[in-house]
Amino acid sequence: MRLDQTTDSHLNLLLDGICRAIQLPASLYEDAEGKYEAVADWLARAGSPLARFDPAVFPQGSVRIGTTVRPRGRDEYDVDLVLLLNTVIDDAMHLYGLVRDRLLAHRTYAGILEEKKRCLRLNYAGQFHLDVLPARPAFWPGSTRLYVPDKQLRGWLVSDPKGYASWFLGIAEGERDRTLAKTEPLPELKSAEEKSLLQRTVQLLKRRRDVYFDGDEDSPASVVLTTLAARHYRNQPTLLATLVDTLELVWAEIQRTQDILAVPNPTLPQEDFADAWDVNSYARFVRFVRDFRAELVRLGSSQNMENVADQLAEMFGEQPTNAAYREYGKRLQARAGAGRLYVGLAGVSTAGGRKAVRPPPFTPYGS
Amino acid sequence: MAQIRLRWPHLTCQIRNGTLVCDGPVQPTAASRTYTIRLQYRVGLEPRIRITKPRLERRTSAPDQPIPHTYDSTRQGRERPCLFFPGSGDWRSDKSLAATVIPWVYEWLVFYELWHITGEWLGGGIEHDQGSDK
Repeated sequence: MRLDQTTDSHLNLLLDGICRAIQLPASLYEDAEGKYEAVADWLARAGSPLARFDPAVFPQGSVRIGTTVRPRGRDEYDVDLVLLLNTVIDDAMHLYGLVRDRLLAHRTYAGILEEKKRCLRLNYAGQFHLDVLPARPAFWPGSTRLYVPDKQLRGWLVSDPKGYASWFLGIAEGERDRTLAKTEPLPELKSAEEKSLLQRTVQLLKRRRDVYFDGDEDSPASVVLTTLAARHYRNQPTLLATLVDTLELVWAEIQRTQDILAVPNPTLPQEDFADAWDVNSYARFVRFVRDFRAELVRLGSSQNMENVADQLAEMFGEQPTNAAYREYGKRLQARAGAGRLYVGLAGVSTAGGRKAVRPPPFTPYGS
Repeated sequence: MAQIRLRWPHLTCQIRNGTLVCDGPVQPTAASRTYTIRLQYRVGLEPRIRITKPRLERRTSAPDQPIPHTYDSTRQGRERPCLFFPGSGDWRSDKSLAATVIPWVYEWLVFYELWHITGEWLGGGIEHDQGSDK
């Protein structure tokens, strides 16, 4: 059976609803904005030992490109901040230490600081992590490349968070990253409706990943999913079509690849985002892609709404699935109440079909 | 009857002793199971709808809660969809069954399915007074 991927198809409406339900709540985001600005100020303000490096602060990662997903249960989400210090310090660990010491000098930050491989993490338990990534310019002509310290290497790595964001947003929204200001606030939180299909597709991929791997360390990195989705984006008309198309193209790429798939950073090709994969974790990723695609095709041809609901809840979680069905019902009811719901041989639909009638509103009665 | 045949050709209609009886499959959405319904209508009375297969069921997670907007809601296995408020004018004998009651069954079944999924009746309507169950 062919999968109906049109805007009004049942499954597409529900995926739209699930995606709305996994957006970051505005209250959580406002809280992160406040903490982001406070940390930025603490690091860069006059009187800070870092001030002499003329610091710039900007967000990177999913918060910058609009693909953050509401955390599940008591999980936390990441807010990534780059602290760019205008220096030619040679010793990577010295730069890392300077930033760590500045954070330790703040009573609150000292209590919630965790040293990670490349960043310094402030752990706001139950809410989010604020990851501070120290960096210095790479002085690469005409590029936004940076050097970031790596504790394992005890040296520098090249990174290009602005270049990556610009690449992704160029595909997602048809516009390059617009911000050139030195110190930037977090971007404004966009609703699901304001987001592009690519951004929402990435969000659904990430949510399915979170449920599928359930915190397992083999879980593929967000940047891997994001890069693959953007690379294969072909302007499909609906969320369902984009998701299925992405999974099919990634699957085809897996089939063509002899070895473990590489996912190079498009703005820094020598960097492989997927370098953490080994034979086992890659095999699990391959199964994830195959299963997700098969699930969608099966759901799209299912003729039992309750089974579809159960399956969607297993795939994306109960809360967003329930929210999506409630929204779907309310939408149908609004249409029915306005006499704008179509009913034909193929059933109830928000789009008119052959021979469909638009029955007048009615009032079901009875408790 | 001609109108029903035209619009809903999969329903089989006949007149028995002055009562119009239509039987047939109804699939409320493309993603739904197919139900078999029976519509009975006698001029002067209100049309009666029964879902003959599969039987309407309460939610497995809340077996004490009757199915909303049904007649005979306390008689499990005998419930019938209640499509309109009697005397509300939603239904009058000069209206076409094909353009009202039959599509309303589709709509009612969608909201019945959504009630099973969410536990909430999303189709609007008026609640019975306690004790005035039919």
